[in-house]
Amino acid sequence: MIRCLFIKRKLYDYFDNSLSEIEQSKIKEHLDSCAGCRNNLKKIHEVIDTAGSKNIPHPTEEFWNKFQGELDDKLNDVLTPAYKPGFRERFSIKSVVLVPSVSVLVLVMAVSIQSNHRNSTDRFHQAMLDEMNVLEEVSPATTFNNGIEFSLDEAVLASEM
Amino acid sequence: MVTESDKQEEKMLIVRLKQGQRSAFDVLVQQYRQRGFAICYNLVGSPEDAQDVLQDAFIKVYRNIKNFREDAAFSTWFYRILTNCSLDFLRKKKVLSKHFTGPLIDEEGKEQDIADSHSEPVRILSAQEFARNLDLHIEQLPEKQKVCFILKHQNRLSNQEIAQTLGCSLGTVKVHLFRAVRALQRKLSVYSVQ
Repeated sequence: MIRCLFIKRKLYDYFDNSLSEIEQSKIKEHLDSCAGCRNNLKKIHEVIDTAGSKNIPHPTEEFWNKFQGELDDKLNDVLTPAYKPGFRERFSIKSVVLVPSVSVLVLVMAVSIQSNHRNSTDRFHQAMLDEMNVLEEVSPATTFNNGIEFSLDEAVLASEM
Repeated sequence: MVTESDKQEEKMLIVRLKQGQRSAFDVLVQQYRQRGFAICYNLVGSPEDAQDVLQDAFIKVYRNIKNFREDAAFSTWFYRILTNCSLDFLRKKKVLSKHFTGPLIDEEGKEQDIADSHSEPVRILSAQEFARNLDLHIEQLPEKQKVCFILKHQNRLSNQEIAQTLGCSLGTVKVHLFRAVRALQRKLSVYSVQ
């Protein structure tokens, strides 16, 4: 029994052929006479043989072509550093956008100035017209005032004479 | 069988790759893609995921080739990258799926419990069912045990290559392998192949 415990620990190495020749032959001797240990060895064989006979897919040439293509793409992505714009690039406005925007701005300003100028001229004309109307409306008083002034002038002339 | 001239040719390829020659990289991809795919497939479990992981691993090779010291074999350096990429992928997937694993379904469509008892009677399974159960138990092994077991018994790497790939001693690899096989043997002791 003790011998079986000892053998049990060595069975995998025995299976793997990694024991010395003497140990290998001693274990073989024991196995010939012990059904329990033989059964344990059989179990190890079952496990390892089954694991070893696992079907590993053998990809086709088509698979490898696709694989190579994807690998090239991944590698190019890794090797090409990600583009990071600098401060000036990040905050600069591209000429494609800048030129039309400035043109539109200048045009708007020109139109605005023109319109302001026209408005102020119109307002000036209107103011002049208003003033003329006012003058026309108050002309009798003016005449009266003029009349006084005239009479004063006359009085001055008269006194000088 | 790798001959001395193959090794020399590979060294030349690595020198050219270090100089930034893309054509050398393409040749290395062609040489290692099938082996790499098999390892990724065994570790991550699906061809689509294996393809993604393998591509990521090749990109890491290209970007880090300058760190590769030529005193070691390129293959083990590549396998190390591959294993790390696969494990990273599995960790992310595990976080996403919150450790969910579906129930085992037998051929009749009934759910099976993952048996771990010597007292249960032995169930005779077809080779296919046994293999499916084995895959599920391999998936549940601790990370290092799983990697050692898969690299050794599904990808036929030697213990020495596994030790170099994982950056650990030969003794550590043997311990991981022993524990992995013992765990699988115990878990599958209630099943027997037809």
